[in-house]
Amino acid sequence: MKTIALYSIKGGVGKTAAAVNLSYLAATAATPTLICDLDPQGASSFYFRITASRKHSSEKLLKGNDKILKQIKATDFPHLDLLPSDLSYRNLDIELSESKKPKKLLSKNLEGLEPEYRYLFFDCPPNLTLLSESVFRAADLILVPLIPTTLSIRTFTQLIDFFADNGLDASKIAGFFSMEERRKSMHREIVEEYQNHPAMLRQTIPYSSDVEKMGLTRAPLNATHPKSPAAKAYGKLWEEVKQLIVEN
Amino acid sequence: MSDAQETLYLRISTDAPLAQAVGQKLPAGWRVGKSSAHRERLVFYDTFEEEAFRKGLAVMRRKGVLSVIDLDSGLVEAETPLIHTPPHFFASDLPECKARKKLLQCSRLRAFINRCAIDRFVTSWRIVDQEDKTVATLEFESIHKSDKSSEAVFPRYYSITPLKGFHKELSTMLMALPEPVDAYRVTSFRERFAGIMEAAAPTGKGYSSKLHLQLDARAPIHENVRRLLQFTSSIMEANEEGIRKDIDSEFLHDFRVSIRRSRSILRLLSGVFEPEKTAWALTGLRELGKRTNDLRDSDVYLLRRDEYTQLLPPSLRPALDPFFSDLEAEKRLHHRQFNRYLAGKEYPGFMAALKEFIAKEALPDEQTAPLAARPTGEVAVKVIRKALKKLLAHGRRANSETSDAELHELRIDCKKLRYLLEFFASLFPPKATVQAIRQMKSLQDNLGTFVDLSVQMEFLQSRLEALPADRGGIGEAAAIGGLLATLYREREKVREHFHEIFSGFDSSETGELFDELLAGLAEA
Repeated sequence: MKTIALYSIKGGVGKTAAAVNLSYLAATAATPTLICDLDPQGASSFYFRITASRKHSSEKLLKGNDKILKQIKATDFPHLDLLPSDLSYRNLDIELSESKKPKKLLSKNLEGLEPEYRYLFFDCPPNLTLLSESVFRAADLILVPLIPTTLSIRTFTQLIDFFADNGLDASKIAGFFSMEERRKSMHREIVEEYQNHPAMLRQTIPYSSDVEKMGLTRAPLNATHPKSPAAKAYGKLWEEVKQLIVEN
Repeated sequence: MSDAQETLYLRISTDAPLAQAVGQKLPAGWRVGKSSAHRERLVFYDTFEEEAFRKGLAVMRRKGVLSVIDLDSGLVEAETPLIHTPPHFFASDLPECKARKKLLQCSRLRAFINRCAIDRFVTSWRIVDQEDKTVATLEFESIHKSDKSSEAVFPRYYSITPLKGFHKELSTMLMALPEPVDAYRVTSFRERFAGIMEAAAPTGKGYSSKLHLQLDARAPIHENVRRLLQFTSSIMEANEEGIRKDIDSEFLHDFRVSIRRSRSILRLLSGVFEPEKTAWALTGLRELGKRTNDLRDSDVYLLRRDEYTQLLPPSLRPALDPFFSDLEAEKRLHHRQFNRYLAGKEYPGFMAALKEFIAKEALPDEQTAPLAARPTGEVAVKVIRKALKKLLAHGRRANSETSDAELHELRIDCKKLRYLLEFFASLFPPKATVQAIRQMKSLQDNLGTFVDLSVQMEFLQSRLEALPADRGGIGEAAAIGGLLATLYREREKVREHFHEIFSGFDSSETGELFDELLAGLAEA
């Protein structure tokens, strides 16, 4: 099982859209996939039209394995399941801090998913907390969407520094440009400058109203509009990510 | 049609509700999606004796995959690719895998036969909740036999499979079924399997070559021997097709056992019919038996291929190849010959005459058939005592050297007693027969192995003598020599044990056991 976290300290950068579309692309009969919605806002759960059962809570997530398995729901797409988010997840950090080994808890709790899934996607909340650190340790790859702006680049380098300072493996981080607008000169320049950065993927995701409309269709773009430019970009991005996982 | 763990199958017990009404009763906001349809062909396999079914398994081919399914849970226990749909196959033909192992546990000797092929027509709908999220699939299935000329009628089902994590909504999902509500009954995989088998493959149902006759101790023995012969002749007929198609070697084996059993009982109870009738039947059966000998021999030696190969050092193993390819050729020849015999005039004529003879209810004249009218129980006590006495007398007479002939004869005595016990089993207290047969077992095994080894040695010896010296027969001769030496050593070991085993049988315990057995009968 390979674990891929979609993470950004900033909100509104296309994190959930990437998690939803990439997990949709990852799910095949040979590679059953689970997407874990860790964001209390529950955007990816919303995209898949799934609400958590009343009994689901952050507590269940922290108890791990069996408790988690029971909360998993199938999406409308073959071989793709979802662990929905719950509003109680907003307290995850406090609860994590009360546990003995908060940073390792998540990876331990997810061991039980190993036999069922080949890919595990985390859709993370936008912040840098104990939960994020727990995700960093559990994930094999941390995908970071970046809007091509100077501030984004600054935050991204800060993240890499944070990894170095906290004894985390920074080579797990892979950034990609998201919501790229070719008509904006700053976007063009930044993409050009950073495309060959070792921590950056080549493929960019263009800004697209199709992606925004996922809120209305409530389905992966690659399922509803597979021919759209953004969907094609996700397709290529997934190929690149897959390659990276194989190489790691 | 194996079950996903969560699928709920509902058998439609009245007239089929209208599929157009699917989803009409769903609560506000819920609906069913557009329907889609597909068809799949399912082929079910089992041995002639339904050994997989007896072990609680269904063996099914679907979309190029052979699945072994647990009948109680409906879950696939093992699967392996099976590209074609063979009319029959052996478990050992499958590649090394769990499915092969499972089927070998059902039967090593018997072939898995294509029992029936059905086409399953499935119409499916998605059940969608108020969020427009699919929560389950609803399917309607109707089955037709692949053979279009068949008029078999199969039960029909609706099934609901909730998606993972949506089981709580099941009661709402059930509302998707068209009315009337009382048209449905929840059903298990086993029941659905049985429904298909009942409608599609009634042939060979419940076949067993084991004798289970319920006899009345007071009825004339004539009636009961006729019933036995009815059973054995029906077993012979049941196996004809399998022999003709050469599906597996057990068809001929059961056929031969039936002949032997009939002959044995006819001879042991010779006063039951008029002597010339008995003599006629015995001659006919003996001739028939003889005609099967060569074919059975080929079968037996071909089945021993692995065993023989293992007995030899690797350097000699390839030398057995010509031996077995000759056997294969001989088998084809014998099979053709026997098939011709089965299809010719003589065999059907004999069987018809035999059945006519068996069907005659009228008791024969007491002068010529003095036993005929005697009560079954009384006759049973007498013949069993006699057979036991004979066995013991012959065994005691065997001297320290125990010649081949003596052991051969003893084996036949043993078999006779065994056939009598099996024939009359229902007259005795149930446990007593089992115990008596168990008491005989080690003796029977000893004698059986001895004779078996002797016959093999004789066969190998004759083969050795017929080997042409010129065409590279040296290797084969060495291999056969090696086998002979090993079999000889084994046989002599068996011979050495005979006295020990016989004195174990020839004990007061056996005497008491048989006394008890027969006393139980006398009281009845």
